[in-house]
Amino acid sequence: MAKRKTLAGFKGNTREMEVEVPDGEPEIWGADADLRVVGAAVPRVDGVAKATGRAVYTADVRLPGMLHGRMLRAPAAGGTLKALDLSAAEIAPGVRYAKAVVRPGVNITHEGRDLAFLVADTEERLEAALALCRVEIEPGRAVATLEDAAAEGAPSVHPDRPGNLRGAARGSGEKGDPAPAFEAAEKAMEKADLVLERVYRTQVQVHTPLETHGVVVRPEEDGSVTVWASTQGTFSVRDGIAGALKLSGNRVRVLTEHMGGGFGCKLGPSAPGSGFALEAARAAVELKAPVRCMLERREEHLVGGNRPSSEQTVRMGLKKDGTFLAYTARIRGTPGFPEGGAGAANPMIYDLGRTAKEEISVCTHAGPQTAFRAPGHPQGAFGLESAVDEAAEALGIDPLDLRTRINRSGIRAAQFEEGAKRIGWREARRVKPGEGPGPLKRGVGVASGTWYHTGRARATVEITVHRDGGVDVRNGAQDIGTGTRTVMAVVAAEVLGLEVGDLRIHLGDTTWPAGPGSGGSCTAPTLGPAVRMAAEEARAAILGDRPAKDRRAWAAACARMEEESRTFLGKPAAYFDAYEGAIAGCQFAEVEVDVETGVVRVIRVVAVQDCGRAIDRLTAESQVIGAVIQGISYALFEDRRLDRGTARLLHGDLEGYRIAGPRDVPDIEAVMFSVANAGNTLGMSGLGEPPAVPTAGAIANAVFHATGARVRELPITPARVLAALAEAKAAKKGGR
Amino acid sequence: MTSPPTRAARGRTVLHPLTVNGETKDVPFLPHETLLEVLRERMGLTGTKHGCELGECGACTVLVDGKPVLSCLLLALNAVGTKVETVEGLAEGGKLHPLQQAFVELGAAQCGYCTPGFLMTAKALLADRPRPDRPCLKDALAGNLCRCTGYLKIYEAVELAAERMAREKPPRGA
Ligand code: FES
Ligand code: FES
Repeated sequence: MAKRKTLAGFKGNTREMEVEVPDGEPEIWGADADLRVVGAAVPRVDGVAKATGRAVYTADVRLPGMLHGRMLRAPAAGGTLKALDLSAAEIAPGVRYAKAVVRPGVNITHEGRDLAFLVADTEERLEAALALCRVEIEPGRAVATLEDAAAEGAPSVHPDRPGNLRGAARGSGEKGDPAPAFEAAEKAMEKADLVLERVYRTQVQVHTPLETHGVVVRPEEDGSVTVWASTQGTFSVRDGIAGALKLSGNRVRVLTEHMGGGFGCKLGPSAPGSGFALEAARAAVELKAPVRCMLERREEHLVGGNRPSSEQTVRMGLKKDGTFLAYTARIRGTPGFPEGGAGAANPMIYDLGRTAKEEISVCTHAGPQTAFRAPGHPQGAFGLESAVDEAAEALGIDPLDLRTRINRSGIRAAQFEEGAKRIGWREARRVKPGEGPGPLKRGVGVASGTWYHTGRARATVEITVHRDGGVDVRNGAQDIGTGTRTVMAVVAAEVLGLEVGDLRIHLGDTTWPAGPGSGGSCTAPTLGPAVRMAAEEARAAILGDRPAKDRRAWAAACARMEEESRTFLGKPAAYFDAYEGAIAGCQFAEVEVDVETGVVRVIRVVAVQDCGRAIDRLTAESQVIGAVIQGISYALFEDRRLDRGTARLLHGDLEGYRIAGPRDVPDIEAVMFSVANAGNTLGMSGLGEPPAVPTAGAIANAVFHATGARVRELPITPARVLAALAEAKAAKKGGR
Repeated sequence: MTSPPTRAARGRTVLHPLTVNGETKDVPFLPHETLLEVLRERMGLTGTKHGCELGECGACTVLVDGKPVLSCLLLALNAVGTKVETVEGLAEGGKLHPLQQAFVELGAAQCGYCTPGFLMTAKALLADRPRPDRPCLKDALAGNLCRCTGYLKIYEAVELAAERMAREKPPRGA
């Protein structure tokens, strides 16, 4: 370990930090690092493959003799399975495999629960066979909504453990009984000039990757299997299938060269609510033939995972000058049938005085929640940022001024200024909420978000240098579309004095060194420093003291190698306490609301995002813009609905479940706010999740500014806008 | 009552001539197969993507006689006698089409699953309207969904390609 100095911080605000760097690891790239390729706008290394249709996704894999598998799913929710008869399907033409995966008597926790796995020689025969399976269910009552599931006498989703409430209740930051924290907060509120209590609600959101979950499993002669998987975790698929087949991990080779989106729902071996991949693997081995199983769009909605709903009851006590004395949040949410996981990140980031929080998951007869782009955060930020806005309004303080006052991050303070300038905050806020000319009323709103410095997964990256100068960079993890391959190429090119196109990056094969699952925005900040370390080793060994100048210098040095090729490993252990400890971001939204129809249109979003050191400006910007449009989609459109009586899905498609399309895109200004964070040797952050956090809150606050009416429930539909307008009107009348 | 016949029972596999990317081939398929199925399963042209099979995502967009069509909703039989274009036919002689080039340069693809559909829709648009403005562009692409990019880079790429194509081929009379 050696103490080294590095310059950390952001423009106009840097300071020297002392960091312990383990021996053998390179210097940190600080704010003053002079870099050649890093930070430029570099087109993706796999762009051509994607633009020509040559990129092969799991859905595209076709193998000789390949069979087709699909899960028979419970056609209802609630009740128990009485009988399952596959005999007609078994003898249907083309059917090769039909196996129950549950026994009669099993509790039907959700529509779409796995019942049996079938394999046939064509998709059509498979479909026909599925229709021949006889499923008898002893009907039971099902609960679809939080209210119904939490009500007294509600049927239990898990009858062996009565009641649907599952408390992961905790106090402010600590596990255990939150009651003392609530008491202390209530006591602090006694001194408040203003106490507000509000309830905010958010909906269930479905990930909706364009490529659904799926695998193709091919059994090999030697008893091993090869698996093509549309996954965010090649190694989790490997481990899951190895476990199911009782094979050692190195006998399961998982390949994910390209995959069509995940956003958190593809971290496990199969899908969050289905074991289809394991069943496909079992069937393939038994049949000695490749089996393909891609989920259908409807299955994606049933068992593919979702962002849980939330109901956030917030109480806050403030002084007249905007000082928060206390803030409490009681949060309930529906994770579907799993017994937990429906929390919301509220409160966070601001100085709110004494805080207390409890989180309770309320089970419903529905498919499971799972990680979804910044789990817990967009819903929490919607609650918190709406609440702060309401407090500002009640006290007659500008909402941005109130935030500036309670803000704890130096990075965010600078971001607020930058964003306010770009959106024209002061000018726009001269108009009081709801008082602009109609019927198309404009308004601006702001909200913030935070995320963590991730990338401690300790991956190993292998770099092979060939005598002809060729360089291969390898890791077994996947690029889920975020641009990991490109980030790796940029880092290696920088160190070796090469151009991005000179390197070959290999990802998505578990026979290569282990890498992380793509969750928590950790992939790039895990692999980036590992690439750098391996590349620095290669540079030192091959170039020695000569500078890493260019391709010619590199090739000349490689030609002098004695070996045909040399391999270098990078396995950094160095992750440091980063500058300010967390990632900051804020977004400003401008909306136009038609107060006659209630339709909300987002006109502009300014997203000021702490991006650490952007390794490739293009992919970094693309992450921010993509996150914002998902946030708009969450704020205005998406809503996974179940029938209230039967808990059955009301739509299993992209028409009933609407996501933002080309027409819904506003001007999005992605302001890449660079922070030399000294959190790793590159000073880089993950960027997939943080910009997805603030959008919905900023839009909700802009809607209030435009209309003077507060919508406290997502999505902000025309009906809800009109109801809020009517309510605001009634309140005004009543007040006079 | 007997159950309705399954799809498989309704016809026979017959060879039909299909013209795809300028080449006419006899392709065997069943009468109820969609163009998407035939392209992907029978011809191995997996550049055209399968996103929903319900006509809702646009990932399967191809051109039929120059018009963008959702290949998951069109029977392959209906494509007999037409000219079908897929993403595999965009590049000519190893040279990327200006749209492809712009998509690559500007990073208009993230996961890339929606990309072929956008490219084909955009090609039809530019053939019709060489220099579309933003609203027109948004309308033309409205049937294509992308869950990753946020669309902006896609617009910018189509606009860049339009500009380059216009420069290469000045409008007649100019
Ligand atoms: S696959 Fe044809 S529109 Fe989605
Ligand atoms: S790039 Fe992933 S769906 Fe468009």
